[in-house]
Amino acid sequence: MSCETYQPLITGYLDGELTDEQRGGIEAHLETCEACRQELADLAELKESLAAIKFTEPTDTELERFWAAIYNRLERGVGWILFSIGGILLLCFGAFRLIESVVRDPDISLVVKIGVVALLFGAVILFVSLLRERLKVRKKDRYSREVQR
Amino acid sequence: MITTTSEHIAGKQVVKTLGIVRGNTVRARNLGKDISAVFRNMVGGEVAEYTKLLAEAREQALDRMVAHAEAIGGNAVICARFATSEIMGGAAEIVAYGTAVIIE
Repeated sequence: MSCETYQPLITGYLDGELTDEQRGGIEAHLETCEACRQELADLAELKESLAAIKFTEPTDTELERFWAAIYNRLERGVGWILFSIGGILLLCFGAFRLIESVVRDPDISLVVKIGVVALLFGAVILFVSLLRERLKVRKKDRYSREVQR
Repeated sequence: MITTTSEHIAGKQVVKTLGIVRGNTVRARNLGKDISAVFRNMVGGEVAEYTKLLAEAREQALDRMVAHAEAIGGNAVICARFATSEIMGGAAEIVAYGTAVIIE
């Protein structure tokens, strides 16, 4: 039996799709034919590398494309800036009004006034301190930097 | 160090059991990410902020468990498991625990 007969069967042999008779025949042929053995080896390698290919998830490429568009980045940035400015303004205004109303009110005792002011200032200083700590540590925090999902 | 969820490690023999090892962490994302997550709750889809948060917590808990195992002299951890608790809203507490062993 010649290579012409068995070469088309090589892929079937790799995938286990041959009948017993065909498998016997091709195995006998492979023992004698160097060219067909090489063909089998090449196809086996190709099959292995094809199986190893991973496709990136479709959602990932869509996300990347979204973020590559500068309009989207700008839009997100503008949204955040406006939101943050609004939040900070309202917080400061609220805190200022609270302190003002407490300090100006003659009926509230001095102890309470001092307490409220100290509490608020203390909270602000604590927050700033923790924020500074986080910003410093963040550079070293490999989990924040490296872990995606 | 090999960490595995099974009791056996293929091709190796457990020669000594050292005991439970664990690592845990509680992590939170920042306020901006929490606000983004609220909006994502409205529009749907993967809340990537929290995916990353839980992944970070898992990795850190695993690393701490492995460090504990190394500290008591083990070279593998078998029967590794994860558990989670709720401490505060928007923060993930993850504990990774397992049995530290010496394998050969």
